[in-house]
Amino acid sequence: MAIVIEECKRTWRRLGVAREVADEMAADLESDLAVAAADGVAPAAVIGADVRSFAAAWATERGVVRPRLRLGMTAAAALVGAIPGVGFALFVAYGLSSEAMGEILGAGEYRVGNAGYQATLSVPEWLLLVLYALGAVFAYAGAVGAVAATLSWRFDPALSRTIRSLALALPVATAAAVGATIAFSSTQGFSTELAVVVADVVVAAAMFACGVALTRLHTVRRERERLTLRPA
Amino acid sequence: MLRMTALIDSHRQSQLLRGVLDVCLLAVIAEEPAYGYEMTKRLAARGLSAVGEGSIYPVLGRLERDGLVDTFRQASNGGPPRKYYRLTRRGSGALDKWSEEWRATRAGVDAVIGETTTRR
Repeated sequence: MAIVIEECKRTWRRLGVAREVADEMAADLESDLAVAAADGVAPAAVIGADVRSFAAAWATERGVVRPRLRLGMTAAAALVGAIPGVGFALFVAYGLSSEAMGEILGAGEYRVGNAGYQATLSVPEWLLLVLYALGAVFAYAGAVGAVAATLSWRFDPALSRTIRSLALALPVATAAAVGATIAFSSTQGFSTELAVVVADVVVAAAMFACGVALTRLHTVRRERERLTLRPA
Repeated sequence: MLRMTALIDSHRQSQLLRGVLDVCLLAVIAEEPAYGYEMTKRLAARGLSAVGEGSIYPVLGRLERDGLVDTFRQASNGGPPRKYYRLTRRGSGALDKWSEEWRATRAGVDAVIGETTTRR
């Protein structure tokens, strides 16, 4: 039983539960488990086999978990989650109609270039738009899903509010990222030199990450205000 | 195989109860204030033994947070004072409302299951 209580305390400490609240919950649980033991009931039958999940769920439902900011973690998760979708869109933009792809597929239009005949795949505009939209949906779902998975793994008490806020804010953050990248790229004459392209990507990622972090910051502040306003 | 079936049945019953555990707890507390483990025993005595395994305490936490129950401490036999839960006025209103909702749901489910069973 002592191991179970200690594991609960460790979990509450990690979640940022105030010490006096954690001590009170631990004392209540210990008292209940002692009665259960006297009845011949094991702690697992009362609180379940997953002590960490139990402790986190109890503290979260009681509303005693002070949410942490986790701005870097949230922004990084959103960026990583968006990568497959963005990669797909970049492939559509630069890879699908490339000469290399035409040669690989062995089909498409043939045109005369300086180096001779080269193959390119002809993709209708409507299909390109559909594929771009698919890329955007993948990126959106990936970003939201990755943030949800990361915060859920941390038993974050502001998880559902963060996800709801992000679902609304991500399109705005994406638009800001695209706008900033176009503005920056225009100052470089829309150069395709590697250094400029890398800088474009950095600007887009930074703007997107800032949008996600600001959304998380706003959500956590509101959650903390809610906790403060609630009577103890 | 039998053990696996029993596990699945137990899990299914536990899932079914999860949605109505809050109203069950309010009803138990309305009869008489109780502490956490005591509620598990009272529910088990009425056949709801699938409850437990960590599900009661988080629900009690939510009920307390929402002001549907409040707590007081009472001396226990030989041990430190124990935390008891009792119904608040809001909790009493919620119990009435949720009980009605449950009866309506149960009537609907019974109607569907009853029809299916009769046809077979």
